[in-house]
Amino acid sequence: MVEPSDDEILAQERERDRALTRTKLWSVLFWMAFALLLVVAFNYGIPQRVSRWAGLPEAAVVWLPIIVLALLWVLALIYRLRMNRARAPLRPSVQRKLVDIYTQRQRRILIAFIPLAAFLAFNQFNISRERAAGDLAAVFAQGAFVFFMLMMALMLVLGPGFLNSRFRSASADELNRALRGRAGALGYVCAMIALGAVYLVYSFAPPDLGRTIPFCMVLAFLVPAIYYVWCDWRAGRDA
Amino acid sequence: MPERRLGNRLKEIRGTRGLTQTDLAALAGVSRKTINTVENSVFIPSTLLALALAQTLGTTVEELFYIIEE
Repeated sequence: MVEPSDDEILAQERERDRALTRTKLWSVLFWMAFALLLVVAFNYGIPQRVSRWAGLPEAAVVWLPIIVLALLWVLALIYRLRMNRARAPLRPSVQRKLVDIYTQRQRRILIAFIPLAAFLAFNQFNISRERAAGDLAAVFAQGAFVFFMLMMALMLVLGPGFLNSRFRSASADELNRALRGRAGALGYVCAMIALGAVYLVYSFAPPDLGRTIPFCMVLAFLVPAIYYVWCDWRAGRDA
Repeated sequence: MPERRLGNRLKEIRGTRGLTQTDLAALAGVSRKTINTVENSVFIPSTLLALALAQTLGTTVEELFYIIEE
């Protein structure tokens, strides 16, 4: 029997990766559709009607289907992840190419997020200066900003293919781990500086807090992200 | 107390085997960047990687790596 070539194995891995991406997209669509259904149901007062009809508390009518669906979703995910056949280890030459492919993808995502985060921070800074001098609620009402920051932090920690065991083993490449460790250490220092700055501003100039928080949040993401990309670029160059 | 650094002969031994960084990376199952940073002493490899590199190049870890005392 002829052994498949490196490129053939890589093509299979990419197809498997695309299948996983499709699964994730379907999951997202499922939850979005479910959220939309809930909004519609609340709009027409369906939970109240059902609770009256079934003689159940309104909270039970709302939460029970959500909990059941969440459990089913988690069970399906566990089944998808655990009941698959164990995959044979890859040849070192294929493993090396996969490390390159996944690292490149992760780097591109990170690079794309850096200007986005900078733009959002600048935007948020202007919004808060005009509208929210001393009004913290107005700053935190900008949920999209917080969401984006969380998403970027997750992207940095988990990478774009954490459901794929091949991705997990490729991202456990020694150099990648070391670079992530360095960026993480710098991120910790930045986060501590940011927290200190927030505390000082809160103590001495509370009206400026709304302007400080977005700046500090971005500092804690942008500095380690740029440092990681720079270290990764340096690693590919000769001394 | 003298400061210790890790030196290596990776580039030299790789050259004698006629391997490029990419070839060695493919044989050891790591990225080319990993080989590059080890050669340039930017990154200290784990014992596992050091052993894997020595095995791939058909040499010993002591031949490949040494301590520089300053």
